[in-house]
Amino acid sequence: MRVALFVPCYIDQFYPQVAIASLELLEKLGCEVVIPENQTCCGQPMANSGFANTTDGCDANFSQNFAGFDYIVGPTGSCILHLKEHHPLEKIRNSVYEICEFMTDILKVTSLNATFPHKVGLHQSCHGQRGLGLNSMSELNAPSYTKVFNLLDLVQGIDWVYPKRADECCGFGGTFCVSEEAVSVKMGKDRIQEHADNEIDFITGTDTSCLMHMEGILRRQNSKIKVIHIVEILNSYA
Amino acid sequence: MLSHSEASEKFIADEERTNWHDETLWFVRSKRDVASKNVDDWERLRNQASDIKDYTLSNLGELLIQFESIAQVNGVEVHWAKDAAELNQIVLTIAKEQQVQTIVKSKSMLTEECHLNDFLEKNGFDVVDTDLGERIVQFRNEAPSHIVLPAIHLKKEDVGETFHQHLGTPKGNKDPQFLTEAARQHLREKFLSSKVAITGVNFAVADTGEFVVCTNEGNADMGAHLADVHIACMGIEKVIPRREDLSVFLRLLARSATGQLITTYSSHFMKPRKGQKMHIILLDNGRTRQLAQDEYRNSLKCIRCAACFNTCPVYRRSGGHSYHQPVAGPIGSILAPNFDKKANVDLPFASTLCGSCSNVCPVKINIHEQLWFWRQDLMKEGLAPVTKKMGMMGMAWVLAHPSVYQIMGKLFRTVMKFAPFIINNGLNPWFKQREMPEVPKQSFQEWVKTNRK
Amino acid sequence: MKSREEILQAIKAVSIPTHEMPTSYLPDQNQLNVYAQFLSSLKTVGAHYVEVSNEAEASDALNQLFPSINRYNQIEIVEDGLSLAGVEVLEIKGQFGVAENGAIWLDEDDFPHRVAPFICQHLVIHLKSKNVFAHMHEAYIKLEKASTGFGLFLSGPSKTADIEQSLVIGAHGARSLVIIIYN
Repeated sequence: MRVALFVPCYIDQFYPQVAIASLELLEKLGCEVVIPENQTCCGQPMANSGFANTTDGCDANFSQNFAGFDYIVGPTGSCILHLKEHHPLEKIRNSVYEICEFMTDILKVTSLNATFPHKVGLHQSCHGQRGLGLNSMSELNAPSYTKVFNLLDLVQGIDWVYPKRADECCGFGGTFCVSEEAVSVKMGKDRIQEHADNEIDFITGTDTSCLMHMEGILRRQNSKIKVIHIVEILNSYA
Repeated sequence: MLSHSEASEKFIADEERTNWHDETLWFVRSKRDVASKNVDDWERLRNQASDIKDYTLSNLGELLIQFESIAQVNGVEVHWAKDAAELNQIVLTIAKEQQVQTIVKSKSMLTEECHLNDFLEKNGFDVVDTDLGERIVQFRNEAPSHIVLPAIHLKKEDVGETFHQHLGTPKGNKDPQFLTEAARQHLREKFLSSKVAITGVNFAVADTGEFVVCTNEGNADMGAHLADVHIACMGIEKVIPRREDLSVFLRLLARSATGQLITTYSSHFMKPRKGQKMHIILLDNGRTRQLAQDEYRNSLKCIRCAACFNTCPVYRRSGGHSYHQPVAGPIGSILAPNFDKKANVDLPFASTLCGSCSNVCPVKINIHEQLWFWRQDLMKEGLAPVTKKMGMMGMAWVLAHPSVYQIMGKLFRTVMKFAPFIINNGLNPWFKQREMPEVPKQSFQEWVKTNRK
Repeated sequence: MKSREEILQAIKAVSIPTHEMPTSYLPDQNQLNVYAQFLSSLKTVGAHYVEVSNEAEASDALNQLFPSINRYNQIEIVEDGLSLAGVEVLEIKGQFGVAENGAIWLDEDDFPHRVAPFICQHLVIHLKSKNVFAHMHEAYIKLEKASTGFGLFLSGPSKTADIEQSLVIGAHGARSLVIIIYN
């Protein structure tokens, strides 16, 4: 299966290990992975700030880099949701997948050669969960399911737990993280506390934006808790 | 007037109190969850409620005319007010005819929107808010901070102090039972001596001409049934087509609001009491303007349950007063800009767009999507600070040019590595309470060039 | 009236896609025992109930609940609602109950003045056990043609949680509610 790897801008610049893990994982699962080298960004930072009318250039660059792919896969719920809802080309909108969604729905992965003998707190990133339907939502009277954390059941040695408020937002929210700094950090601290209450070693999820925000707070608190993107767990080996 | 972020910062400075406020409201959300999960057809009910409201908005004129004509046959006097000033004037005129001093009023967010109390007081009337929560904030000269639980931002000590000052309850007494009893006695006096009562309207039924008022306390009824004149105030969007539609809304309303099965009283007013005058005022005040906008029309479906407030992680940690206008929370943030874009430009940005609000909304308003649309419209109106606009346009340009993006990325990482103080300082809001991400040796694309080519 | 025309004009000027009138809602057919559910809901909303077979039993029960207290059970119309301000216990008839939420439909024709069920200190409602519907939908089918000037669904005693979310039973309306259910 031929797949284009979409790398969110902040992962490219600050968390390349997430993109590396995504690449390796997809290859292990038998995909031919193409990495468009002139990709930049999905356009969400401008659009969510009220400047969706400035993203033409960014959208065009995306179209150029990802034209002709049936599967555009990225380690991000938030960016994929933005592309799905706002990218001008229908073909792009219909071809984007968050990586766990891709593994569950398209590759239908049933086994992984992965080991991660640690206790892990699960963070459900809002846009992926409520926007892409990656996990069921606590507000609805509907059956529960997950397309993300089911993959953790394929990992040896892992012990995972949801925090008390299973799907409350972490407070990153794009430029919200600085324009409403006090609320953003308070939300992040509260999230972290709930995870800490479960005595976990790692917090994991599908979105590095959430993890980056929580990591910033954890490191300021000199906490022993680390963040790790779920693809890094799925790609880990003994 | 403080912006939402400024007000929130002050609110959060008392972290313990913020935790208490957050947990109290989350508890209300949890009760709503239990109630909704006990109704097997909950999601189907939401769809029906949403469909009924969609039908209503697309036939609003006809339904209002139908409501008016039947209400009139029933003996209710129907008034139309195009704006707040007109509504206030109509109420004043009616009240003046009665030669009274005191007016009792049950909960009506619409009258808050119109600043009716202030207006009546300036004209010599004593307006008594009879809902317990509203009476408390009225004594304190504060606005309600929540449309269903007006005093949710106050602890029992605060209420005890307020009642000590205004009702003479013993200093230091903070027992809710005792304080409620004191309020009952005090407000009972007002009910027994008032001849003019103002209420809100939860639902107005077009095919019967009746309107329904829901309370737990019974204050709307104590006021209305003893009054010679009952004035009901409603927004034009509150009409629903058929009496049977009430079944859907009454099953959803209290469960969504507080997790109760139904409010204690769901009072159906069809005809005035013998010898009583009953008035209803239909208010526009910008609702037709909202109706005309495809993106925001849905916000008019709101039944004012406040489920969105209780679930909103931002509201819970910033409090209703941070929203600086009568209806706070997520729904307030999509209604308020319609009244005044400049004053409320901050509100659609007081959100992470997490989407929880839309999920709890009993009438399926796409609140989080409307927040996004308002951001576009407000920025297009030129209401962004110049720095933000320049920053965004700069970012858009960089991200449209891959080689510039790669250079800028490398530059930023280099500065972070060798001169972090340029980024890690008081001018960087991120850095206030968070560490910046660590700088990797290479960007991913650089790694690809090194390792995969 | 000028504003009426302006508002209706403004509405008319908006082009909205048509929506169909939704068909009447059909609730889930649940297998639950409706009467048992009603009793359970009454408990949840803070109402007391006594099951009786006849009026004599009802009278006994009420004498025990309200010893040496006068009960008001006239339904003759009273002109001045204030004259009921001193009523300790009011007894009225309820038309029917709703199992899902413990609500009882009250019609003003069944009480002396509209304010009666609110102004009394304690409220007693006499209800026939066979008059209980499962959901609000059935209730409104029953009410379809009713044209009473004032009626209400009443569920439990008056209450508030406005002071720090502490539930207090007895706000402005009746402090307690007793349902006498006739089997």
